[in-house]
Amino acid sequence: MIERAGGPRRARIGAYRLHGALVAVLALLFVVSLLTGPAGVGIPARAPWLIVTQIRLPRALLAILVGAALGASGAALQGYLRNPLAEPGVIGISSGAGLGAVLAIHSGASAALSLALPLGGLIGAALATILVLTLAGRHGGALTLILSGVAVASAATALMSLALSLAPNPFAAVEIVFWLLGSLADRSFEHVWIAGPFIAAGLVLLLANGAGLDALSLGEDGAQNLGIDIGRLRLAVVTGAALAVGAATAVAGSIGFVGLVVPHLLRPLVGHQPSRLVPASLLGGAILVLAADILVRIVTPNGELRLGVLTALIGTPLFLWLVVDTRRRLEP
Amino acid sequence: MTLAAVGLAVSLARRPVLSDVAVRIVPGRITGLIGPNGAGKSTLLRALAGLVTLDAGSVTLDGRSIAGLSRRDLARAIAFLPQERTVHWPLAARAVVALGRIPHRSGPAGEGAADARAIDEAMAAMDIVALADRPVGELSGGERGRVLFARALAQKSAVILADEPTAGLDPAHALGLLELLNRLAAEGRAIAIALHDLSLAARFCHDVVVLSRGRVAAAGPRAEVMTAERLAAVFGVGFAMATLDGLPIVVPIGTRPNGGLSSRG
Repeated sequence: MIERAGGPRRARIGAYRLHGALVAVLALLFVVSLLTGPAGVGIPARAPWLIVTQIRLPRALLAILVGAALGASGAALQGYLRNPLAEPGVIGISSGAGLGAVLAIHSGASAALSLALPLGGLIGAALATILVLTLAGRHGGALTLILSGVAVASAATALMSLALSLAPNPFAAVEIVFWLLGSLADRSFEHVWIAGPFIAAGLVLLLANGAGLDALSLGEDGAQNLGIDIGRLRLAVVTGAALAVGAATAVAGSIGFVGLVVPHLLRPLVGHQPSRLVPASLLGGAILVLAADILVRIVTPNGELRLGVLTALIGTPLFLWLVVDTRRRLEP
Repeated sequence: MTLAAVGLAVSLARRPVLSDVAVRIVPGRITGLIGPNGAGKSTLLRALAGLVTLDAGSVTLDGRSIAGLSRRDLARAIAFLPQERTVHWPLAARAVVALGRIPHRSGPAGEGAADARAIDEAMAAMDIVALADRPVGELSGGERGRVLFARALAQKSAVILADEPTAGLDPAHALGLLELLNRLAAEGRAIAIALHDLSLAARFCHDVVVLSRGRVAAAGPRAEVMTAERLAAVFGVGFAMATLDGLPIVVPIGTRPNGGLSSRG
Protein backbone atom coordinates (compact mmCIF):
# COMPACT_ATOMS: atom_id res chain seq x y z
CA MET A 1 0.00 0.00 0.00
CA ILE A 2 1.28 3.43 -0.92
CA GLU A 3 1.76 5.76 2.03
CA ARG A 4 0.52 9.21 1.26
CA ALA A 5 2.15 12.30 2.68
CA GLY A 6 0.77 12.91 6.16
CA GLY A 7 -0.14 9.24 6.47
CA PRO A 8 0.18 7.28 9.69
CA ARG A 9 3.65 6.00 8.90
CA ARG A 10 5.07 9.44 8.31
CA ALA A 11 3.43 10.69 11.49
CA ARG A 12 4.98 7.81 13.43
CA ILE A 13 8.44 8.41 11.97
CA GLY A 14 8.04 12.11 12.74
CA ALA A 15 7.16 11.28 16.35
CA TYR A 16 10.17 8.96 16.70
CA ARG A 17 12.42 11.66 15.29
CA LEU A 18 11.07 14.37 17.57
CA HIS A 19 11.20 12.18 20.67
CA GLY A 20 14.67 10.98 19.74
CA ALA A 21 15.93 14.53 19.35
CA LEU A 22 14.35 15.63 22.64
CA VAL A 23 15.78 12.63 24.51
CA ALA A 24 19.25 13.34 23.05
CA VAL A 25 19.12 16.98 24.20
CA LEU A 26 17.88 15.89 27.61
CA ALA A 27 20.68 13.32 28.00
CA LEU A 28 23.28 15.91 27.04
CA LEU A 29 21.89 18.42 29.55
CA PHE A 30 21.79 15.71 32.21
CA VAL A 31 25.54 15.15 31.82
CA VAL A 32 26.21 18.90 31.80
CA SER A 33 24.10 19.26 34.94
CA LEU A 34 26.17 16.61 36.74
CA LEU A 35 29.33 18.49 35.74
CA THR A 36 28.05 21.91 36.75
CA GLY A 37 29.07 23.26 40.13
CA PRO A 38 29.53 26.62 41.78
CA ALA A 39 32.85 26.92 39.93
CA GLY A 40 31.26 26.50 36.54
CA VAL A 41 31.13 23.49 34.23
CA GLY A 42 33.95 21.01 34.67
CA ILE A 43 35.01 17.85 36.41
CA PRO A 44 35.35 18.59 40.13
CA ALA A 45 38.88 18.11 41.44
CA ARG A 46 38.28 16.87 44.96
CA ALA A 47 35.84 14.26 46.27
CA PRO A 48 34.08 14.43 42.93
CA TRP A 49 32.04 11.27 43.19
CA LEU A 50 30.33 12.20 46.44
CA ILE A 51 29.39 15.65 45.17
CA VAL A 52 28.12 14.26 41.90
CA THR A 53 26.04 11.46 43.40
CA GLN A 54 24.75 13.14 46.55
CA ILE A 55 24.24 16.75 45.46
CA ARG A 56 24.13 17.09 41.71
CA LEU A 57 22.44 13.82 40.77
CA PRO A 58 19.31 14.31 42.91
CA ARG A 59 19.16 17.92 41.74
CA ALA A 60 19.31 16.88 38.06
CA LEU A 61 16.75 14.10 38.60
CA LEU A 62 14.40 16.53 40.33
CA ALA A 63 14.79 19.06 37.52
CA ILE A 64 13.77 16.35 35.04
CA LEU A 65 10.85 15.16 37.18
CA VAL A 66 9.56 18.68 37.87
CA GLY A 67 9.95 19.79 34.26
CA ALA A 68 8.25 16.64 32.95
CA ALA A 69 5.38 17.14 35.40
CA LEU A 70 4.86 20.77 34.42
CA GLY A 71 5.22 20.21 30.66
CA ALA A 72 2.97 17.16 30.41
CA SER A 73 0.32 18.65 32.73
CA GLY A 74 0.27 21.88 30.75
CA ALA A 75 -0.19 19.98 27.48
CA ALA A 76 -2.92 17.73 28.90
CA LEU A 77 -4.83 20.62 30.49
CA GLN A 78 -4.62 22.70 27.31
CA GLY A 79 -5.99 19.70 25.43
CA TYR A 80 -8.74 19.03 27.94
CA LEU A 81 -9.81 22.67 28.26
CA ARG A 82 -9.29 23.26 24.51
CA ASN A 83 -7.57 26.45 25.50
CA PRO A 84 -3.95 27.23 24.61
CA LEU A 85 -3.71 29.56 27.62
CA ALA A 86 -4.40 26.84 30.18
CA GLU A 87 -1.58 25.79 32.47
CA PRO A 88 -1.38 23.90 35.77
CA GLY A 89 -1.89 27.14 37.75
CA VAL A 90 -5.31 27.66 36.17
CA ILE A 91 -6.91 24.79 38.06
CA GLY A 92 -5.53 25.85 41.44
CA ILE A 93 -3.21 22.90 42.07
CA SER A 94 0.08 24.82 42.29
CA SER A 95 -1.49 27.45 44.58
CA GLY A 96 -2.86 24.70 46.82
CA ALA A 97 0.56 23.05 47.03
CA GLY A 98 2.15 26.45 47.64
CA LEU A 99 -0.24 27.24 50.48
CA GLY A 100 0.39 23.85 52.11
CA ALA A 101 4.15 24.39 51.99
CA VAL A 102 3.89 28.00 53.22
CA LEU A 103 1.79 26.85 56.18
CA ALA A 104 4.47 24.25 56.95
CA ILE A 105 7.06 27.04 57.11
CA HIS A 106 4.74 29.40 58.99
CA SER A 107 3.82 26.87 61.66
CA GLY A 108 7.48 26.06 62.20
CA ALA A 109 6.86 22.43 61.23
CA SER A 110 9.47 22.64 58.49
CA ALA A 111 12.08 23.84 60.99
CA ALA A 112 11.41 20.81 63.17
CA LEU A 113 11.26 18.31 60.31
CA SER A 114 12.69 19.17 56.91
CA LEU A 115 10.27 16.87 55.09
CA ALA A 116 7.28 18.71 56.58
CA LEU A 117 7.62 21.26 53.77
CA PRO A 118 7.11 18.91 50.80
CA LEU A 119 4.52 16.90 52.74
CA GLY A 120 2.59 20.10 53.47
CA GLY A 121 2.74 20.89 49.77
CA LEU A 122 1.36 17.46 48.85
CA ILE A 123 -1.51 17.79 51.32
CA GLY A 124 -2.28 21.30 50.08
CA ALA A 125 -2.35 20.10 46.45
CA ALA A 126 -4.64 17.17 47.33
CA LEU A 127 -7.10 19.38 49.24
CA ALA A 128 -7.14 22.00 46.46
CA THR A 129 -7.81 19.31 43.85
CA ILE A 130 -10.69 17.80 45.81
CA LEU A 131 -12.13 21.28 46.34
CA VAL A 132 -11.84 22.22 42.66
CA LEU A 133 -13.41 18.95 41.46
CA THR A 134 -16.25 19.27 43.98
CA LEU A 135 -16.92 22.90 43.05
CA ALA A 136 -16.85 22.11 39.33
CA GLY A 137 -19.58 19.49 39.72
CA ARG A 138 -19.94 16.15 38.04
CA HIS A 139 -21.56 17.21 34.80
CA GLY A 140 -20.10 20.65 34.20
CA GLY A 141 -17.84 21.17 31.24
CA ALA A 142 -14.50 22.92 30.87
CA LEU A 143 -15.87 26.31 31.96
CA THR A 144 -16.92 25.30 35.48
CA LEU A 145 -13.52 23.65 35.97
CA ILE A 146 -11.66 26.86 35.03
CA LEU A 147 -13.96 29.00 37.18
CA SER A 148 -13.60 26.84 40.28
CA GLY A 149 -9.84 26.51 39.64
CA VAL A 150 -9.44 30.29 39.47
CA ALA A 151 -11.52 30.68 42.64
CA VAL A 152 -9.43 28.14 44.58
CA ALA A 153 -6.19 29.62 43.22
CA SER A 154 -7.08 33.16 44.33
CA ALA A 155 -8.20 31.99 47.76
CA ALA A 156 -4.94 30.06 48.21
CA THR A 157 -2.86 33.02 47.01
CA ALA A 158 -4.67 35.33 49.44
CA LEU A 159 -4.04 32.94 52.33
CA MET A 160 -0.38 32.70 51.33
CA SER A 161 -0.08 36.50 51.50
CA LEU A 162 -1.81 36.44 54.89
CA ALA A 163 0.64 33.81 56.15
CA LEU A 164 3.45 36.03 54.90
CA SER A 165 2.14 39.11 56.78
CA LEU A 166 1.62 37.07 59.90
CA ALA A 167 5.02 35.43 59.71
CA PRO A 168 6.32 34.78 63.25
CA ASN A 169 9.73 36.29 62.47
CA PRO A 170 11.59 37.90 59.54
CA PHE A 171 13.45 34.67 58.81
CA ALA A 172 10.22 32.76 58.24
CA ALA A 173 8.99 35.58 55.98
CA VAL A 174 12.19 35.46 53.91
CA GLU A 175 11.99 31.67 53.75
CA ILE A 176 8.41 31.84 52.49
CA VAL A 177 9.26 34.41 49.82
CA PHE A 178 12.29 32.47 48.60
CA TRP A 179 10.40 29.21 48.64
CA LEU A 180 7.65 30.72 46.52
CA LEU A 181 10.21 31.76 43.89
CA GLY A 182 11.03 28.12 43.24
CA SER A 183 14.39 26.42 43.48
CA LEU A 184 16.12 23.06 43.30
CA ALA A 185 19.08 24.05 45.44
CA ASP A 186 19.99 21.83 48.41
CA ARG A 187 17.53 19.10 47.47
CA SER A 188 18.46 15.52 48.31
CA PHE A 189 17.41 12.04 47.28
CA GLU A 190 14.72 12.22 49.96
CA HIS A 191 12.97 14.80 47.82
CA VAL A 192 13.32 12.56 44.78
CA TRP A 193 11.72 9.66 46.69
CA ILE A 194 8.90 11.89 47.96
CA ALA A 195 8.00 13.48 44.63
CA GLY A 196 9.07 10.75 42.20
CA PRO A 197 6.26 8.22 42.73
CA PHE A 198 3.51 10.86 42.62
CA ILE A 199 4.94 12.49 39.51
CA ALA A 200 5.40 9.10 37.80
CA ALA A 201 1.81 8.07 38.61
CA GLY A 202 0.50 11.43 37.38
CA LEU A 203 2.46 11.19 34.13
CA VAL A 204 1.20 7.65 33.45
CA LEU A 205 -2.38 8.87 33.96
CA LEU A 206 -1.86 11.83 31.61
CA LEU A 207 -0.16 9.73 28.91
CA ALA A 208 -2.90 7.08 29.04
CA ASN A 209 -5.67 9.54 28.18
CA GLY A 210 -4.37 10.91 24.89
CA ALA A 211 -7.20 9.48 22.79
CA GLY A 212 -9.78 11.29 24.92
CA LEU A 213 -7.92 14.57 24.48
CA ASP A 214 -7.80 14.05 20.70
CA ALA A 215 -11.52 13.28 20.63
CA LEU A 216 -12.24 16.53 22.50
CA SER A 217 -10.95 18.44 19.45
CA LEU A 218 -14.49 17.89 18.16
CA GLY A 219 -16.15 19.34 21.26
CA GLU A 220 -17.85 17.49 24.09
CA ASP A 221 -20.69 16.05 21.97
CA GLY A 222 -18.20 14.92 19.35
CA ALA A 223 -15.92 13.32 21.93
CA GLN A 224 -18.78 11.46 23.61
CA ASN A 225 -19.88 10.19 20.22
CA LEU A 226 -16.36 8.78 19.85
CA GLY A 227 -16.90 6.71 22.97
CA ILE A 228 -15.23 9.04 25.48
CA ASP A 229 -16.70 9.37 28.97
CA ILE A 230 -16.11 13.09 29.57
CA GLY A 231 -16.56 12.84 33.34
CA ARG A 232 -13.96 10.09 33.61
CA LEU A 233 -11.60 11.92 31.30
CA ARG A 234 -11.79 15.05 33.44
CA LEU A 235 -11.17 13.08 36.60
CA ALA A 236 -8.14 11.40 34.99
CA VAL A 237 -6.63 14.62 33.61
CA VAL A 238 -7.17 16.67 36.77
CA THR A 239 -5.94 13.86 39.02
CA GLY A 240 -2.92 13.21 36.79
CA ALA A 241 -2.01 16.92 36.70
CA ALA A 242 -2.64 17.25 40.44
CA LEU A 243 -0.36 14.31 41.31
CA ALA A 244 2.42 15.52 39.02
CA VAL A 245 2.25 19.28 39.61
CA GLY A 246 1.32 18.98 43.29
CA ALA A 247 4.39 16.84 43.96
CA ALA A 248 6.59 19.04 41.75
CA THR A 249 5.49 22.22 43.55
CA ALA A 250 5.86 20.53 46.92
CA VAL A 251 9.58 19.87 46.34
CA ALA A 252 10.58 22.77 44.10
CA GLY A 253 8.24 25.65 44.89
CA SER A 254 6.28 27.38 42.21
CA ILE A 255 7.97 27.32 38.84
CA GLY A 256 5.97 29.27 36.36
CA PHE A 257 5.59 29.42 32.61
CA VAL A 258 6.95 25.93 31.85
CA GLY A 259 3.48 24.39 31.60
CA LEU A 260 2.33 27.23 29.39
CA VAL A 261 5.22 27.83 27.04
CA VAL A 262 6.52 24.30 26.38
CA PRO A 263 3.29 22.93 24.85
CA HIS A 264 3.05 26.10 22.76
CA LEU A 265 6.53 25.68 21.35
CA LEU A 266 6.08 21.99 20.54
CA ARG A 267 2.48 22.01 19.28
CA PRO A 268 3.31 22.72 15.61
CA LEU A 269 5.91 19.92 15.67
CA VAL A 270 3.29 17.29 16.54
CA GLY A 271 0.65 18.41 14.05
CA HIS A 272 -1.29 20.14 16.86
CA GLN A 273 -2.50 16.73 18.05
CA PRO A 274 -3.16 16.78 21.84
CA SER A 275 -2.30 13.10 22.37
CA ARG A 276 1.12 13.55 20.74
CA LEU A 277 1.74 16.84 22.51
CA VAL A 278 1.66 15.27 26.00
CA PRO A 279 4.77 13.03 25.66
CA ALA A 280 6.61 15.72 23.65
CA SER A 281 5.88 18.37 26.31
CA LEU A 282 6.94 15.94 29.04
CA LEU A 283 10.40 15.81 27.43
CA GLY A 284 10.38 19.51 26.53
CA GLY A 285 9.47 20.56 30.06
CA ALA A 286 12.26 18.42 31.48
CA ILE A 287 14.70 20.04 29.04
CA LEU A 288 13.62 23.59 29.90
CA VAL A 289 13.79 23.13 33.69
CA LEU A 290 17.07 21.20 33.55
CA ALA A 291 18.63 23.86 31.28
CA ALA A 292 17.33 26.66 33.50
CA ASP A 293 18.72 24.96 36.60
CA ILE A 294 22.16 24.70 34.96
CA LEU A 295 22.00 28.36 33.95
CA VAL A 296 20.98 29.39 37.47
CA ARG A 297 24.09 27.75 38.88
CA ILE A 298 26.44 29.22 36.25
CA VAL A 299 25.06 32.78 36.38
CA THR A 300 24.82 33.07 40.17
CA PRO A 301 26.84 30.39 41.97
CA ASN A 302 25.57 31.70 45.33
CA GLY A 303 21.96 31.13 44.42
CA GLU A 304 20.67 34.70 44.15
CA LEU A 305 18.85 33.92 40.93
CA ARG A 306 15.97 31.58 41.64
CA LEU A 307 14.91 28.85 39.23
CA GLY A 308 11.28 30.00 39.08
CA VAL A 309 12.43 33.51 38.24
CA LEU A 310 14.71 32.28 35.47
CA THR A 311 12.08 30.03 33.83
CA ALA A 312 9.82 33.07 33.68
CA LEU A 313 12.67 35.20 32.30
CA ILE A 314 13.39 32.57 29.62
CA GLY A 315 9.71 31.85 29.03
CA THR A 316 8.53 35.40 28.51
CA PRO A 317 10.66 36.18 25.42
CA LEU A 318 9.77 32.78 23.94
CA PHE A 319 6.15 33.59 24.51
CA LEU A 320 6.47 37.09 23.04
CA TRP A 321 8.15 35.59 20.00
CA LEU A 322 5.17 33.23 19.66
CA VAL A 323 2.78 36.19 19.87
CA VAL A 324 4.69 38.06 17.17
CA ASP A 325 4.87 34.92 15.02
CA THR A 326 1.15 34.29 15.39
CA ARG A 327 0.40 37.91 14.53
CA ARG A 328 2.56 37.70 11.44
CA ARG A 329 0.72 34.61 10.24
CA LEU A 330 -2.69 36.16 10.91
CA GLU A 331 -1.89 39.38 9.05
CA PRO A 332 -2.71 39.36 5.36
CA MET B 1 -29.81 -1.96 13.56
CA THR B 2 -33.02 -0.12 14.31
CA LEU B 3 -32.81 2.95 16.51
CA ALA B 4 -36.12 3.81 18.13
CA ALA B 5 -37.39 6.33 20.62
CA VAL B 6 -40.69 6.24 22.48
CA GLY B 7 -42.30 8.77 24.78
CA LEU B 8 -39.20 10.92 24.63
CA ALA B 9 -39.18 14.07 26.77
CA VAL B 10 -36.13 16.28 27.09
CA SER B 11 -35.54 19.59 28.85
CA LEU B 12 -32.56 21.84 28.35
CA ALA B 13 -31.86 24.33 31.17
CA ARG B 14 -35.26 23.39 32.66
CA ARG B 15 -37.10 24.39 29.48
CA PRO B 16 -38.98 21.51 27.84
CA VAL B 17 -37.62 21.01 24.33
CA LEU B 18 -39.12 17.65 23.35
CA SER B 19 -42.25 16.01 24.66
CA ASP B 20 -43.74 12.65 23.87
CA VAL B 21 -41.64 12.10 20.76
CA ALA B 22 -41.58 8.71 19.07
CA VAL B 23 -39.42 7.91 16.02
CA ARG B 24 -38.01 4.82 14.36
CA ILE B 25 -34.80 4.95 12.33
CA VAL B 26 -34.79 1.72 10.37
CA PRO B 27 -32.07 0.04 8.30
CA GLY B 28 -32.26 0.65 4.58
CA ARG B 29 -34.03 3.99 4.84
CA ILE B 30 -33.12 7.64 5.24
CA THR B 31 -35.31 9.39 7.76
CA GLY B 32 -35.47 13.16 7.36
CA LEU B 33 -36.20 15.44 10.30
CA ILE B 34 -37.78 18.71 9.21
CA GLY B 35 -39.33 21.56 11.12
CA PRO B 36 -38.83 25.24 11.87
CA ASN B 37 -35.89 26.61 13.89
CA GLY B 38 -36.19 25.60 17.51
CA ALA B 39 -38.59 22.73 16.78
CA GLY B 40 -36.21 20.29 18.47
CA LYS B 41 -34.49 18.60 15.52
CA SER B 42 -30.98 18.90 16.92
CA THR B 43 -32.06 17.90 20.41
CA LEU B 44 -33.84 14.85 19.01
CA LEU B 45 -30.69 13.79 17.16
CA ARG B 46 -28.58 14.35 20.28
CA ALA B 47 -31.06 12.32 22.35
CA LEU B 48 -30.94 9.50 19.78
CA ALA B 49 -27.13 9.58 20.00
CA GLY B 50 -27.33 9.25 23.78
CA LEU B 51 -25.94 12.72 24.47
CA VAL B 52 -28.71 14.26 26.57
CA THR B 53 -30.42 13.26 29.79
CA LEU B 54 -33.99 12.12 29.19
CA ASP B 55 -36.85 13.37 31.37
CA ALA B 56 -39.00 10.49 30.19
CA GLY B 57 -39.11 7.78 27.54
CA SER B 58 -36.35 5.66 26.18
CA VAL B 59 -34.07 5.21 23.19
CA THR B 60 -33.49 1.64 22.10
CA LEU B 61 -31.11 0.02 19.68
CA ASP B 62 -32.60 -3.22 18.33
CA GLY B 63 -34.88 -3.25 21.35
CA ARG B 64 -32.17 -2.74 23.97
CA SER B 65 -32.01 0.54 25.86
CA ILE B 66 -28.92 2.56 24.92
CA ALA B 67 -28.67 3.67 28.56
CA GLY B 68 -27.29 0.19 29.26
CA LEU B 69 -24.57 0.39 26.62
CA SER B 70 -21.05 1.66 27.28
CA ARG B 71 -20.02 4.90 25.53
CA ARG B 72 -17.65 2.87 23.41
CA ASP B 73 -20.24 0.32 22.26
CA LEU B 74 -22.58 3.20 21.51
CA ALA B 75 -19.84 4.91 19.48
CA ARG B 76 -19.34 1.78 17.40
CA ALA B 77 -23.08 1.53 16.70
CA ILE B 78 -24.00 5.18 16.15
CA ALA B 79 -22.05 7.94 14.39
CA PHE B 80 -23.32 11.44 15.05
CA LEU B 81 -22.41 14.58 13.14
CA PRO B 82 -23.20 17.59 15.37
CA GLN B 83 -24.35 20.84 13.87
CA GLU B 84 -21.32 22.58 15.33
CA ARG B 85 -18.48 22.43 12.83
CA THR B 86 -15.71 23.62 15.14
CA VAL B 87 -12.41 21.76 15.36
CA HIS B 88 -10.52 23.15 18.32
CA TRP B 89 -6.97 22.67 17.04
CA PRO B 90 -5.63 23.17 13.50
CA LEU B 91 -5.36 19.41 12.95
CA ALA B 92 -4.66 18.10 9.45
CA ALA B 93 -7.82 16.97 7.66
CA ARG B 94 -6.69 13.36 7.70
CA ALA B 95 -6.07 13.49 11.46
CA VAL B 96 -9.66 14.69 11.95
CA VAL B 97 -11.05 11.81 9.87
CA ALA B 98 -8.82 9.42 11.86
CA LEU B 99 -10.62 10.47 15.06
CA GLY B 100 -13.53 8.34 13.82
CA ARG B 101 -11.42 5.25 14.52
CA ILE B 102 -10.98 5.97 18.24
CA PRO B 103 -13.90 3.73 19.30
CA HIS B 104 -12.36 0.84 17.36
CA ARG B 105 -8.88 1.13 18.81
CA SER B 106 -7.82 -0.87 21.80
CA GLY B 107 -5.35 0.86 24.06
CA PRO B 108 -2.85 3.39 22.82
CA ALA B 109 -1.98 1.28 19.77
CA GLY B 110 -1.45 3.28 16.61
CA GLU B 111 -3.41 3.14 13.42
CA GLY B 112 -3.86 -0.39 12.05
CA ALA B 113 -4.50 -1.51 8.47
CA ALA B 114 -8.28 -1.63 9.00
CA ASP B 115 -8.18 1.90 10.40
CA ALA B 116 -6.16 3.19 7.45
CA ARG B 117 -8.59 1.55 5.01
CA ALA B 118 -11.65 3.03 6.71
CA ILE B 119 -10.05 6.49 6.79
CA ASP B 120 -8.97 6.38 3.14
CA GLU B 121 -12.40 5.15 2.02
CA ALA B 122 -14.20 7.85 3.96
CA MET B 123 -11.90 10.53 2.55
CA ALA B 124 -12.38 9.27 -1.00
CA ALA B 125 -16.16 9.17 -0.51
CA MET B 126 -16.18 12.80 0.66
CA ASP B 127 -13.76 13.93 -2.08
CA ILE B 128 -11.24 15.29 0.41
CA VAL B 129 -8.20 13.17 -0.46
CA ALA B 130 -6.47 16.27 -1.85
CA LEU B 131 -7.04 18.10 1.44
CA ALA B 132 -5.42 15.38 3.60
CA ASP B 133 -2.51 17.48 4.88
CA ARG B 134 -4.30 20.82 5.08
CA PRO B 135 -5.07 22.17 8.56
CA VAL B 136 -8.85 22.20 8.98
CA GLY B 137 -8.77 25.83 10.09
CA GLU B 138 -7.64 26.84 6.62
CA LEU B 139 -10.47 25.00 4.87
CA SER B 140 -13.73 26.61 3.77
CA GLY B 141 -16.85 25.88 5.79
CA GLY B 142 -18.10 23.40 3.21
CA GLU B 143 -14.76 21.62 2.99
CA ARG B 144 -14.61 21.37 6.78
CA GLY B 145 -18.17 19.99 6.76
CA ARG B 146 -17.04 17.25 4.37
CA VAL B 147 -13.99 16.45 6.53
CA LEU B 148 -16.20 16.14 9.62
CA PHE B 149 -18.71 13.99 7.78
CA ALA B 150 -15.85 11.75 6.66
CA ARG B 151 -14.98 11.36 10.36
CA ALA B 152 -18.50 10.04 10.97
CA LEU B 153 -18.19 7.69 7.97
CA ALA B 154 -14.83 6.35 9.19
CA GLN B 155 -16.62 5.28 12.37
CA LYS B 156 -18.27 2.52 10.24
CA SER B 157 -21.39 2.46 12.37
CA ALA B 158 -24.70 0.79 11.60
CA VAL B 159 -26.56 4.00 12.40
CA ILE B 160 -25.65 7.47 11.10
CA LEU B 161 -27.21 10.60 12.59
CA ALA B 162 -26.32 13.92 10.96
CA ASP B 163 -27.45 17.41 11.87
CA GLU B 164 -27.73 19.39 8.63
CA PRO B 165 -24.95 17.51 6.85
CA THR B 166 -25.44 19.59 3.68
CA ALA B 167 -25.14 22.98 5.43
CA GLY B 168 -22.54 25.09 3.61
CA LEU B 169 -21.95 22.51 0.88
CA ASP B 170 -22.03 23.51 -2.79
CA PRO B 171 -24.78 21.84 -4.87
CA ALA B 172 -22.46 19.21 -6.30
CA HIS B 173 -21.12 18.12 -2.93
CA ALA B 174 -24.55 18.34 -1.26
CA LEU B 175 -25.97 16.03 -3.90
CA GLY B 176 -22.92 13.77 -3.68
CA LEU B 177 -23.36 13.46 0.07
CA LEU B 178 -27.05 12.60 -0.15
CA GLU B 179 -26.43 10.10 -2.94
CA LEU B 180 -23.76 8.51 -0.75
CA LEU B 181 -26.24 8.31 2.14
CA ASN B 182 -28.66 6.67 -0.27
CA ARG B 183 -26.07 4.01 -1.12
CA LEU B 184 -25.22 3.51 2.57
CA ALA B 185 -28.92 3.05 3.30
CA ALA B 186 -29.15 0.53 0.48
CA GLU B 187 -26.29 -1.37 2.15
CA GLY B 188 -28.46 -1.66 5.24
CA ARG B 189 -27.47 1.30 7.39
CA ALA B 190 -30.09 3.24 9.32
CA ILE B 191 -29.78 6.98 8.66
CA ALA B 192 -31.43 10.07 10.10
CA ILE B 193 -30.65 13.61 8.96
CA ALA B 194 -32.00 17.01 9.92
CA LEU B 195 -32.52 19.10 6.79
CA HIS B 196 -33.69 22.61 6.00
CA ASP B 197 -33.75 22.15 2.23
CA LEU B 198 -37.20 20.66 1.76
CA SER B 199 -36.62 19.88 -1.92
CA LEU B 200 -33.65 17.72 -1.01
CA ALA B 201 -35.65 16.17 1.84
CA ALA B 202 -38.49 15.35 -0.56
CA ARG B 203 -36.04 13.87 -3.03
CA PHE B 204 -33.79 11.78 -0.80
CA CYS B 205 -35.60 10.90 2.41
CA HIS B 206 -37.65 7.72 2.43
CA ASP B 207 -39.41 8.69 5.65
CA VAL B 208 -39.99 12.15 7.07
CA VAL B 209 -40.60 13.24 10.65
CA VAL B 210 -42.08 16.71 10.96
CA LEU B 211 -41.28 18.34 14.29
CA SER B 212 -43.13 21.34 15.60
CA ARG B 213 -42.56 22.88 19.01
CA GLY B 214 -40.98 19.78 20.41
CA ARG B 215 -43.66 17.37 19.23
CA VAL B 216 -44.02 15.10 16.23
CA ALA B 217 -46.55 16.82 13.96
CA ALA B 218 -46.45 14.03 11.41
CA ALA B 219 -44.31 11.03 10.57
CA GLY B 220 -44.31 8.43 7.84
CA PRO B 221 -43.35 7.86 4.22
CA ARG B 222 -42.29 11.11 2.54
CA ALA B 223 -45.15 11.31 0.05
CA GLU B 224 -47.78 11.00 2.77
CA VAL B 225 -46.17 13.45 5.16
CA MET B 226 -44.88 16.26 2.96
CA THR B 227 -48.08 17.89 1.79
CA ALA B 228 -48.39 21.60 1.12
CA GLU B 229 -51.07 21.95 3.81
CA ARG B 230 -49.00 20.29 6.52
CA LEU B 231 -45.82 22.19 5.66
CA ALA B 232 -47.77 25.46 5.67
CA ALA B 233 -49.26 24.63 9.04
CA VAL B 234 -45.91 23.75 10.59
CA PHE B 235 -43.66 26.37 9.01
CA GLY B 236 -46.21 29.20 8.98
CA VAL B 237 -45.58 29.99 5.34
CA GLY B 238 -47.21 28.78 2.13
CA PHE B 239 -45.41 26.28 -0.11
CA ALA B 240 -45.59 25.48 -3.80
CA MET B 241 -44.90 21.87 -4.59
CA ALA B 242 -44.12 20.66 -8.08
CA THR B 243 -42.27 18.02 -10.00
CA LEU B 244 -39.59 19.01 -12.47
CA ASP B 245 -37.96 16.37 -14.66
CA GLY B 246 -39.28 13.81 -12.20
CA LEU B 247 -37.70 15.57 -9.19
CA PRO B 248 -39.80 17.01 -6.36
CA ILE B 249 -39.53 20.78 -5.83
CA VAL B 250 -40.72 22.42 -2.61
CA VAL B 251 -40.58 26.23 -2.58
CA PRO B 252 -41.82 28.64 0.10
CA ILE B 253 -43.99 31.24 -1.62
CA GLY B 254 -44.70 33.95 0.94
CA THR B 255 -43.91 35.13 4.41
CA ARG B 256 -47.56 34.77 5.43
CA PRO B 257 -49.67 31.68 5.09
CA ASN B 258 -52.00 31.78 2.07
CA GLY B 259 -55.69 32.15 2.67
CA GLY B 260 -57.31 28.92 3.68
CA LEU B 261 -54.13 27.48 5.15
CA SER B 262 -54.04 27.39 8.89
CA SER B 263 -51.17 29.26 10.48
CA ARG B 264 -49.18 28.18 13.51
CA GLY B 265 -51.04 28.42 16.77
